[in-house]
Amino acid sequence: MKLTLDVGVKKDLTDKEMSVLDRTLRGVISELVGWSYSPLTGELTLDFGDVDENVVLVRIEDYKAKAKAVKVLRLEFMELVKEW
Amino acid sequence: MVRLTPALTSRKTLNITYAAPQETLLAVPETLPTAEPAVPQIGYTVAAADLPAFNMGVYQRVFVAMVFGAGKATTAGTVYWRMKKNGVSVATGSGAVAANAFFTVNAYFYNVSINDLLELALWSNRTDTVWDYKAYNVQVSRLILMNKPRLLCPCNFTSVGSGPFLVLGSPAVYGVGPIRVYHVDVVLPTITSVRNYEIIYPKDSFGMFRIAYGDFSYANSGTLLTDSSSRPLHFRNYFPLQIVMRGVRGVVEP
Repeated sequence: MKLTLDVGVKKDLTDKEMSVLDRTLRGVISELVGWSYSPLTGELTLDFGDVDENVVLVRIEDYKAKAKAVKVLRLEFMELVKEW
Repeated sequence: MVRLTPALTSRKTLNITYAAPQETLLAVPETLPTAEPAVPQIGYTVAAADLPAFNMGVYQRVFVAMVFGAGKATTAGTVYWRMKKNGVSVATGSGAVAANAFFTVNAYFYNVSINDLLELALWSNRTDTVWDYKAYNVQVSRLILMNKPRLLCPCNFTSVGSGPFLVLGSPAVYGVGPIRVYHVDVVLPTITSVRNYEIIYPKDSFGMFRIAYGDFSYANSGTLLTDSSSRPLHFRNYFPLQIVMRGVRGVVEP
């Protein structure tokens, strides 16, 4: 399951900044498997792996706050997509 | 004498052929650096022969390149990746890798052209993570055969395939994404096999169809997948091999 957020910043991250972001995200979102970020769009995608979708669904606003995102864009589960 | 123009064009049979994926399995795995390498380990320059080929000219198409990089962790850690297109960062990310697990980065470059340099850099926060596999393949999305007439009646997906088929290493497929067919930008139920449509009106935005991985999902992005025994662990897409259609003349755009 993947949650894509708009963080409102389009910045090319250095490897050190990626390391800090990785630690920060994993520090506040323990169930995080991986993440990706696009400097072209400012989209941050949180990857929760094969987690129970209900776990993510009830915590979307919490994840948005913890990632300091400005908007929730998409939730993808298998081939299902919900867009905001 | 009045010369009438037929309402329907001749029957068009569009055949799409796909290049086989390029794969390399290193004989000796290379240790990943603990900081981003100045020169990415994996790089491919898009060549004409890499692109899907058509038996006739097409009005619109978007090429999607997929680059895979895989390896193995000894100690549990985090693997970082960066996608670059022509030297410009396109996407970055990371993924947790368990001890003795394999990892595969699936990186999708949306809208590539001949001579584009596509690169994937890998590094780790552990000193005993290695990489030993890379692959590359190109597929097509958002295809439109004719600008005018645009309304197709019928539009039959008469042959459907899937790929890429990766064979080196110990490959496994994580999932196969279906084709999304669009009619006036409205997505129809996804397809994974032959399907006939009475009417399709493709618009420039999405064309006749979109592939799943690299367009509908992960366009100019990627993901890191892990497995205890398999690499590359990758996504495949269903894609059309043949579409048979006729255009309808004299239709005003919706």
